[in-house]
Amino acid sequence: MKSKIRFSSIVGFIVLLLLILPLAMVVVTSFGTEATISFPIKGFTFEWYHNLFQQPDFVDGMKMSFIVAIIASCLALLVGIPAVYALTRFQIHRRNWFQNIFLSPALIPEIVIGFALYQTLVISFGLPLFISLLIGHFLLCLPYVIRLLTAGMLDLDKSIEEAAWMVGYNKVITFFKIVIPNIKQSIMAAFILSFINSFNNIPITLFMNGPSLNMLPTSILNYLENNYDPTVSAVSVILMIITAALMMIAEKYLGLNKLV
Amino acid sequence: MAQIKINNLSHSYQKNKQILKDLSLDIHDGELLSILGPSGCGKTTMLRLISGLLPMQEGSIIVAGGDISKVPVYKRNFGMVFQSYALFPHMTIFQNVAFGLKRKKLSKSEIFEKTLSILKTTGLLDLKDRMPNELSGGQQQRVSLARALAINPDVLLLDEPLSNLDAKLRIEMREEISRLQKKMKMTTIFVTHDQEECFAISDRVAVMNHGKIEQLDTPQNIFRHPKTKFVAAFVGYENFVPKQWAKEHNWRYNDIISGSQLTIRPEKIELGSNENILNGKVLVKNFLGNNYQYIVETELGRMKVDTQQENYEINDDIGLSFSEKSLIELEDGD
Ligand SMILES: Nc1ncnc2c1ncn2[C@@H]1O[C@H](COP(=O)(O)OP(=O)(O)O)[C@@H](O)[C@H]1O
Ligand SMILES: [Mg+2]
Repeated sequence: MKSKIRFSSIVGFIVLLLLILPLAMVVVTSFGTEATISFPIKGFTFEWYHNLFQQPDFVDGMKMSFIVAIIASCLALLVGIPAVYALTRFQIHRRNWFQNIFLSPALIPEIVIGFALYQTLVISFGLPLFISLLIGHFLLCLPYVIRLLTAGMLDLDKSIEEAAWMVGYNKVITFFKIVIPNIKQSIMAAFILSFINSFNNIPITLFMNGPSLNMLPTSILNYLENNYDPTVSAVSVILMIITAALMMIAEKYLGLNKLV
Repeated sequence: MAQIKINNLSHSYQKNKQILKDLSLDIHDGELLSILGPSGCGKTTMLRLISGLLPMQEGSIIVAGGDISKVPVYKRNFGMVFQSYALFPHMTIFQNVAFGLKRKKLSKSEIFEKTLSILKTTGLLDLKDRMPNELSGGQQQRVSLARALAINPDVLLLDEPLSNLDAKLRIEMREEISRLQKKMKMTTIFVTHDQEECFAISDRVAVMNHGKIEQLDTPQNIFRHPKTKFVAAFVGYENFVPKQWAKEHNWRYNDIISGSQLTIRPEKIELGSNENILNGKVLVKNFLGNNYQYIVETELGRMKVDTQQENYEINDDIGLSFSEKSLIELEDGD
């Protein structure tokens, strides 16, 4: 018993080291004065953070990634909430079949989704890049939304809705006045997870990327091809902070163990 | 003014498995009628059909002279109390009770006044600002009742409302239901599997078995004159005797009904008197508090006897006797 506890704490410690050390390294190098990323640092500066916001590539990329993540997450919720309600509340022929379809994007390698969408939407149908990218990110977000909302709906006693019908509310009003307020934590958590996944996504984004459409992950990669200075560390730190902050909010709403 | 006529109601969830079978039932205006039956006999199904939560398949339901079969649930103006309370978790007690009133064409102050008054009648005034999860089970069920009554429903439906409460609260709550029902003179259908509970508060009781009403009568009549073996067993008649056997052994009983069985309650049998009618051997002796229960093996099978007598032990040979008035004739069920 005791040795088991010791073993798991050692493993835990190693995992933590593997995770924390490189991240700590990135944080430290982002403040280094050297012109290339190096460790240990010789001096301390905010110059790279300053430089970051001088690069139109990064600023535009961040804006665009932000916009895409917001729209894709909202679309996924707009489709996901009614879909989950139907899946959990109505007698549906082939319920599992539908459920699996909604969840399937999570099972296909993202790079394959990206490539396939690029081939069909952009090349064959000639859809604008931005629309194709939104569709890709929407597909990426949908499984998270479906999973989190299904858990939320299953927790909600069906007779609560019936009680509202009994006192005079039709099913549509009941949906907005009773169902939505009681699953709003799941909705919030689904939105945050969708947002993070879209914002940090590379595989799908790589394909739907062009001179007119500049996304943050690809601008980082582009920048790295020509420069190896701590600006990249600085942008990584900012990404980490945004993600961690969002995760903390999500965790507060739903508990992390339910999220993954 | 809501008399309910249920005509030829049938329902099945799956093909070839009828849950309700051609059920007809009249409920008088202002009465409290209980549906009493074992779990799975179709009580909830029937109540959900009346409420409109379940779409009707066959038959009709007439309320106050109008056919409501096609009226959607939210337009029926029926009150429902659920077994699971089903309070709105995101609203205060006040908001829960006021929710239905907001659907009516009332001014804000009227809603406020009415909600306060119903909270007062149900003894919930002190809890009005609490959230449902801050209340005990009994308090939650009270809120559920208040919410149902607030819309001043034409019919009140209760589906085993007491089954999640402990024994003491159950009695308190059923008296509360009875009091409010009488006060508001509301036609009420009370579903339960608990005989004592429904006898205590009902004007009439419909005993249900396998999707059919076996007997509809006052609690007294059902208790004293159960019609079928099922009803008898459900209200505590534990001993059954074939009429043929009784006839051969010159037992005297009223021979009016064509059925083949007689029944007698355990407390109507005496042990060890001089005029033994039946002989047997004690198999089991249990102390039940108010009395002892003996299970006696006789040539008619095992007979249950509830008595104050305590001086018999297992394996004693004893005689059983009873007055002929205690033998109840039963109709044959189907
Ligand atoms: N939604 C349903 N789908 C299929 N069968 C059901 C459903 N609801 C109830 N039943 C079946 O119908 C029968 C009667 O159920 P119910 O009306 O809930 O009985 P009670 O309330 O008397 O316990 C039971 O055998 C139950 O299994
Ligand atoms: Mg039931």
